[in-house]
Amino acid sequence: MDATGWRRLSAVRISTPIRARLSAVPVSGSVVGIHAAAVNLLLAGELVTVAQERLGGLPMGIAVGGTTTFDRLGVHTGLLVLGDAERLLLPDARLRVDLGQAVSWSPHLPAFAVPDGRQRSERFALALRLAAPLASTIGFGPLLRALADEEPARLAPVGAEAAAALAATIAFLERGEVGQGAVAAATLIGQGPGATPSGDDLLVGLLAGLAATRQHGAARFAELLAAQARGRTTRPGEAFLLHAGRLEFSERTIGMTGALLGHGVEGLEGAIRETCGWGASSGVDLLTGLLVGIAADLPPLASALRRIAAEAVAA
Amino acid sequence: MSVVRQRVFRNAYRDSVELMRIASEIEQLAGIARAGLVMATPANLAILAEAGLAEGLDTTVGPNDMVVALRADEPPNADAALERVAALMKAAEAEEPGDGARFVPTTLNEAVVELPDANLALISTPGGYATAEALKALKLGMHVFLFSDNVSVDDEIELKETGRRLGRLVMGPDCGTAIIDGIPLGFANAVRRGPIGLVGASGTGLQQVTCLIDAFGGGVSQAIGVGGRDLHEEIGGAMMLSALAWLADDPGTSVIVLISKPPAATVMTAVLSSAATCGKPVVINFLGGDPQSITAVGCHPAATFEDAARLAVELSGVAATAKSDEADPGPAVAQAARALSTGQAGIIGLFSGGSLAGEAKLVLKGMLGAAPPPRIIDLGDDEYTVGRPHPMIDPRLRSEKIAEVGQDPSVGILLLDIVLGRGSHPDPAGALVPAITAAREAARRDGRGLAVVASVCGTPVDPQGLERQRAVLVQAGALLAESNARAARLAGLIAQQAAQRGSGA
Repeated sequence: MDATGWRRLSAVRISTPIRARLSAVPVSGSVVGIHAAAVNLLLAGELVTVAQERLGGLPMGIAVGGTTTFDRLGVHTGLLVLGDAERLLLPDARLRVDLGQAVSWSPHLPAFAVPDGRQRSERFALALRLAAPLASTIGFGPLLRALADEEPARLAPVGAEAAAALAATIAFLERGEVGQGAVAAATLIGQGPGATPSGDDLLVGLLAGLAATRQHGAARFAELLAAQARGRTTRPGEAFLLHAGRLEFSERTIGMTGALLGHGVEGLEGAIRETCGWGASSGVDLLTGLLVGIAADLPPLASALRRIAAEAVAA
Repeated sequence: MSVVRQRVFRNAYRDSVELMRIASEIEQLAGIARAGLVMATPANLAILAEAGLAEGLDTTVGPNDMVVALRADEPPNADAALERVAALMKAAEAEEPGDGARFVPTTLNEAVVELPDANLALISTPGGYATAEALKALKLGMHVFLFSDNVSVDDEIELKETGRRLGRLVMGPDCGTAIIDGIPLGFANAVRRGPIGLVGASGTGLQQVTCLIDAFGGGVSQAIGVGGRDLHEEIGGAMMLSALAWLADDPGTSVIVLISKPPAATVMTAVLSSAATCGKPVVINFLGGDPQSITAVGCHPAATFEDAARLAVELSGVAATAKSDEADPGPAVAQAARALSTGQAGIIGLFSGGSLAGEAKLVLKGMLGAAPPPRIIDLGDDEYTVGRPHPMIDPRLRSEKIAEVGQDPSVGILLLDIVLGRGSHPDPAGALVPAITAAREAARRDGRGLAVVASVCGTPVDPQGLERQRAVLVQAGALLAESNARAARLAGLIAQQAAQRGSGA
């Protein structure tokens, strides 16, 4: 707290799209969500998340150092927020976030070297094997386990429908029908528990996987899918999808994608363990989508998804 | 005739883990058949509709609203459940102080300004930040209770070396329990105060021993957790040695108890040497370790947590009360074994406490002869806790596993631990009863029996109430033992008799 009674937080990193937005023109908005590790602001119609640095870079994010607990700062939903290139101010909470020293971080997906089909197949199988025992019982954890061929019979209808939607999406993409693919995938938007529903996490992973492996029509597919997110999911879910539509992802997603496509498999197990630990099911949901994305053009995946969907329906 | 009810919380974001916790509690309430807590996105509303939970739902809800929908047997139960949800949501909000509310420090330095006499910091940040915070606390002159896990061995070495240099205790990392000057930290039970000081590298082991000391009429001066790796070669037992020295100097402690898995050989030598010369009687329970080396230095070996508690109470000058003397289990064992079918001698242990699971394994080892080896599962292990709370907090995974046991024809005996105390689920036994009942019913439908054997680790003044928890289990048909070791032995005896019947012996 400074001499004037204002609490000051120092941002250490800021995503390039948010820096660009705040630098262009001063904005105002309000607080729309508060969690222990982050606070969500709606600034000029766009979600901006101020979060603890430990969450890593977020495409819509500003990271502050230390272990600030945001739900202990007297911040409430609806409070006025003012922002510009130098600071964010919440006058009614006497809170100021200094942005001047924050380093810019780009959420744009880097151009990874893409392994050939055989290597990707092997990596896909290994990742599934490593992730299956860690998969949560909620969200799309059961779908991931079914893909690893461990418990296909236990898939609930929601998981089976997701498998069917992903199988259809892949089939459309294979035929070059990108728009139809986006419509099929959009059935998963907003589906499942949490402030970022499982379906959104899965789709963000899918878009990252497709784009990172430079699959045909990936960028257009991302754009069309993201366009359908508005109003169909929570604000954080929508924000993640809108950024993914521009091939912007969280640092964690980018890191996991890199671990999957990297030269060796040394860091893969650790990366999967870490990813599977995010939230109640967010990491597992994202990883499921990511794996489907990187293997989308490999024939065994589509047939596995169709089989899972059919078996669940039959059961 | 069931009823469907919903309540909408406008613009309400809650973490998934919190929603899971609330859903778990609501599903346990009387008369609730199904409950869902979701953000009101179109996709989730479609799922609610498919589940028959959207009937009559306010049509103005949007993706940023949270909906609680449930089906109950009758309206009063539905209304009560919705009231409970509202109360839980409100309780969570109440933890968020508003304008003018009490200042809550967000850094250690701020906390020290607020509370200049504080001499202990409880740190529960993610592992990556824990070391820095713990070092800060040590340098501010505080002892550290480090609940955080995922702290590297190198960091642990640095922290404990710093602690020793500054004359401060570093309890942890991954330290689940401690009782310091009567104040419980982490998961801990409400035990009587007295002259017995404990040091443990085992969370639920420490809880079990302190509870049994209480049950036997003794009392606890300090219970100091040191983290599960403290007696590994690399750490060298740094904090067990420091804590032992503290207790040796503590005028309020007359008997010392050490609890751990068997230490590394060099660490064992150092600990035994310090214990032998500390000037107070020392009871040592190195689960599965060699008792002779302990006796050789004049200390008192204990094979189980119960033995450790009993010995310590006796050494403190209190005659252990008759609480531990259970009735002859013979008739109950024979009756339980008779109810099992041929070939149904398998034991499955579904544990919430890792040390309790370890003790059960050890007790059952070598006891079973012809019976199949037991399957003892620690559901608090990392493998089971990714993406969900620990089973001492959230009983759902264990309930699922218990229900599965009823379908397995090879299993005759289900072994459970119930851990009470601060931090644990408010009704851990009650939360498992529906699953226990379902498993027994499934076995019965299949023409089999299923013996459920349990022990409750707790005290009468724990918030959950020891007797209340025990009564719930007895009502569900469980056989109860006074300690975890006894429960394991009881399960082993039933398995032995069932196996003998199966082999025609």
